[in-house]
Amino acid sequence: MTNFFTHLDWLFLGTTIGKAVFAWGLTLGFILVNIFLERKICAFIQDRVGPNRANVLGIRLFGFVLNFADAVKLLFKEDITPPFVNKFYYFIAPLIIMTVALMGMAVVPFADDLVIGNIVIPMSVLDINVGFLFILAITSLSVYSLVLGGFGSNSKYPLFAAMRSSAQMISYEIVMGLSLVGLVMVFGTVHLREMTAMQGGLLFGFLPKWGVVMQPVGCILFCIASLAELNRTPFDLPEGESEIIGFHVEYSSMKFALFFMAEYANIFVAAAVITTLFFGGWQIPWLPTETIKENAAIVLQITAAFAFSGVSIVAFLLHRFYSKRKYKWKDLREKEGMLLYAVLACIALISIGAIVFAQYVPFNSILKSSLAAVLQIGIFILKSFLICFTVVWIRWTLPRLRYDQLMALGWKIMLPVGIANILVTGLILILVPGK
Amino acid sequence: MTENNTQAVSLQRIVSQLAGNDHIEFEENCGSLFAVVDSKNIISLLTLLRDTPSTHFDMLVDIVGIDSLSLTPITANRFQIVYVLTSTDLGHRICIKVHLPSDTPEIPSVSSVFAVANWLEREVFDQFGIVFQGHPNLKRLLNFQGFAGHPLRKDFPINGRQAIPESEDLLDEMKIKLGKLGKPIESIKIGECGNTLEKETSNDSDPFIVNLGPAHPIVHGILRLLLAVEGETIIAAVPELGYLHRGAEKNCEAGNYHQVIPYTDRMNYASPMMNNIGYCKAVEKMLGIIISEHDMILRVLFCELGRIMDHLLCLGPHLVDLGALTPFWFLFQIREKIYDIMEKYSGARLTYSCVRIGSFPFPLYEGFTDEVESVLKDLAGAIDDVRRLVERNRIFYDRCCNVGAITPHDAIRNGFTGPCLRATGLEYDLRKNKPYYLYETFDFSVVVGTNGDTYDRFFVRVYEMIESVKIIRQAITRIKAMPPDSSVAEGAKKSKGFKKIAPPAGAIYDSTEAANGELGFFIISDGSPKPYRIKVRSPSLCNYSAIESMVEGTMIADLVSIIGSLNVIGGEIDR
Amino acid sequence: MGIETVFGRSWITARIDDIVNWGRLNSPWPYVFGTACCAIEFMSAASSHFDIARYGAELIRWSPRQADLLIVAGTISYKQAPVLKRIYEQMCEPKWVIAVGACCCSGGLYDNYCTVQGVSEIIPVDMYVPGCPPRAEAIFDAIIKLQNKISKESVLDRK
Repeated sequence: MTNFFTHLDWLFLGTTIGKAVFAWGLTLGFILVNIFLERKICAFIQDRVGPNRANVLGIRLFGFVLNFADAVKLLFKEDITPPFVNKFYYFIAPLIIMTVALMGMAVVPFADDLVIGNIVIPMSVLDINVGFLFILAITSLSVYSLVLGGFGSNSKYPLFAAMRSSAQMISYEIVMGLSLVGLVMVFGTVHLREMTAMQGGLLFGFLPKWGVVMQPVGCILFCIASLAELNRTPFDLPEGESEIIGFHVEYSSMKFALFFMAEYANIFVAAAVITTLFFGGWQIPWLPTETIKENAAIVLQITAAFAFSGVSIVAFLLHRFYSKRKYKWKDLREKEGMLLYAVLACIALISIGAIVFAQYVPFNSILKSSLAAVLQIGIFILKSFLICFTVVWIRWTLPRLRYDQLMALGWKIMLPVGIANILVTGLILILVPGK
Repeated sequence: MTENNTQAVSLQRIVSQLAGNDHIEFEENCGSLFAVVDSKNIISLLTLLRDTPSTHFDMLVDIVGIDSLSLTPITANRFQIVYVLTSTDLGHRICIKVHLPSDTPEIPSVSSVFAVANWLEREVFDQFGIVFQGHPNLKRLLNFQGFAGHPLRKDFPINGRQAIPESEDLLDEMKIKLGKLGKPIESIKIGECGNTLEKETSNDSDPFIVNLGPAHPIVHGILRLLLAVEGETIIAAVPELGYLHRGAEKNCEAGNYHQVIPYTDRMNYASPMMNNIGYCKAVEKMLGIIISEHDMILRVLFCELGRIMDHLLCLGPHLVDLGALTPFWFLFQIREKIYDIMEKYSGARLTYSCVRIGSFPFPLYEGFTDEVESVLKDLAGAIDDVRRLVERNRIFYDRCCNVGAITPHDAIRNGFTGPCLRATGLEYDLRKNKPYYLYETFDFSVVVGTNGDTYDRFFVRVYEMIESVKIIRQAITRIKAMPPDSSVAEGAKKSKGFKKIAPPAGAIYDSTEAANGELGFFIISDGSPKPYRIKVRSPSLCNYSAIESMVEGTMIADLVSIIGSLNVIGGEIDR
Repeated sequence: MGIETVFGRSWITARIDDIVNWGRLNSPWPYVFGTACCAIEFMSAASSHFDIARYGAELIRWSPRQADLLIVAGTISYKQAPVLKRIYEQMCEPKWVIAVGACCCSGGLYDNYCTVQGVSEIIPVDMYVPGCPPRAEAIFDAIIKLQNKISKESVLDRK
């Protein structure tokens, strides 16, 4: 026993657990954010208001609270198991999809290595050298959920969905893999940490060396294939509500909620992976980690200034929003306005405090490293958020493909383009000197 | 009128020549020409009328069953059947009337001559119990199979209600169809509402039977299809109707002529005003009323507003069915604005019932024309938005092009009218071919497609809305040019009291170009203030009648697109 | 089945009720059984002008197992009745029904051989919305009244 404990790396264990909790928290939090985005963006695109009634003591957060109402309701809804289902498959399907969704974030680095003294903490839960191969392997498991869910329901429409999704997922996985080969050729590694670090460089002295710049075709292919893997419009055939209702027709209550949540968790994971591979991950353009550490005080002040002006803009918009709706009666809604103003004021105060703090307090190395990490995590989340936003936006814009068209797009267009991309990348790598 | 008469006389001569030895009696009533023939050689006569170039009655518009039990004079032949035929290029129309005996009402089926007769005859069989010999599938169309009695017979009580515990499984028809395809199924059980996978099927190549509707999102809660699929390809489809059969025709017989108007609203709830106007036009024709020019133009205006409303309601949900959800909201906002105008005028948002026989109940409110103008402006914007979203959208193009295509010949045989017929490239529009309400004085063009596929049907509707806008603009200028206290106010005064109306005894078929096609009213009056029989020729029923041939061979996703583009209004199909 | 049997009528049960009812009344996912004219008015209710999504009733579920609120909009004929009944039976508890329109409430205009004289002949109805068809506001009124009704329910009542 003593032997075991002495050999156990406590620091490694502690930081890994911490990072795992952070990664899970991020994924779970983004489920709520994505559902909220889906509702509000769709409402905005369609000239509607969107959910705004659900409240806790008058606090609605523009409909964000509705997520919790949905959760409570689904938790307390009757969980029915139809008599004709294959129970094992039926029960295991939602578990698989949620597990897979939560595992995806394991290898994604969300900041540069945290250096405290002589300890180096890699900022991803698992720092393994197979990198995105792990992600490809894990996400491809989610097809089992759809297939087992559809097949185990022992019902006709879910069976259609299972059939559709298995064909779709398998064919688009090939494209997904192919689109990344070019990236591997350019960066010479599959290790996500190294890949992200390399994206900090500059091309021609001014362009960030992001994956999207190095591999534009690969990026487009990968994004399209990710959409297909996510079952989002225009590839939402397994769910295709107006055609076959979806693979989860027979599911109710929390089992359905798991499917529902996993969809949005997967969007975030996909967004994080796309960010890491093609949009520089945690890299702040033109601002490498060393620069942040060297000029910590100025960076913090600039960030705080940005935060302060952002808060002022939000406060101004909020003021306009509330003054447009002058309520004749006093009700809970006024409380919400006051609360939001208070929160904004707090943020403004903190940012002013940060500016003052940076001016007068000298920075030690821990502070510098943590500042860099926080900033990088922030930029990583922001990039992922923007991609989530785009995914939702696409959903409310495009119609759905037909099954055979989907296959034709995958096999007849994207596959040849993917192969051509590899060839062209190889040629350029050979011909262009200095590589 | 004289021109009409000479046309009718020459038609009479041609038809009697065609009939040869058989003696044909002709009757004429308010512009509808009736030819009374013998039931035995109905097939040969209809074929002759269809194929002779000088008659060329290529479209069977409707088959009307009549129970003349209480119609004077009482005859031994209790039942009558009227075939309404029309010629799409020559523009004339004839009603072929056949008398059938009370005890054995039987007649040869004409479904081999006109494909649309298949369903129309099934409906007559369902409602009157008239047997069509040689019909491929003589089942009830609207009522459920175990229904006892024939509801539109005069001796059937109006509230002879009967309930059924379970829906029909339709497997009998499916088995016949699959047998014809060389894929007989014996062992399939559909199980509980089509939910369980059939365990009895051992053969892997057996088709998969799946039930679609009536609670499926694309069929709007009213249609049902039983599909046999291989993979996602539909190899056989069996449609079932009647889920929204509400017996409006029976109810119409119970009230007086004014009381029918609300029922017409609820037949096509997408464009209720057009149905009101169509019905009132038919009754006015019976009574010999000619409404004032102002009323005519106002009716044109309301008709075109209704057409826009109907097309908006077709295009939006069609796109939703294809997975593009947003355009629906853009389009529905315009509908909402038209609702506002109509509510201001009539007091109701959807079911207006605000046309009276002879006129309108209310004069136009002040500012009506300006509000319509502003809606037209918004409409142009919305159409633009939607066109930008879909017109050059590759996905939309792929989903719609060459899907559910139908040739002009098949379309006519299946009784297609309206945008669905025009999408095939045939320029047939009653507003041009048989102008009513001064449509000939308006400047507009008939929109036609080329392939008759879903894409064409979609864009024929889009461009028809643009044409309707033109017509409305012209109507507004003409209304504005008229003196303000014109005859609407007078007519309103006159028609306010629901005067007792009793058209002279006789039958009439009159039709207008509604949003989905030819909307006809076949009315029989026995001289009393209650209509003896009202049969509605609904465009949706005929447009939907080719669904089997359109769907078979396509995929499930195409079925969604096809049904969406046909614009099937349940209230109109099932009445 | 659970906590309520342990605590009975007590403060804790009441608080559980509050939370559960809050969740239920704020996210009534509807299943729209729309057949006729009233379905068009329901479309109005869902459209931008009125926007039923405000009440959280935005995710229109096409699977009865995931829906909480059955909105029957339109005439129900005897042919349709078994379908409606089956849909209702497939829904999971707790479930509520709103009957929209005169036909649905009482048969309306169609007092004849093929129309069910009110869906309450087939399934239990919580809210009736009169009108032919009722306005979108009337549908909202029904939803709000239903929310009031839900807020008074208790976990002890449902078996």
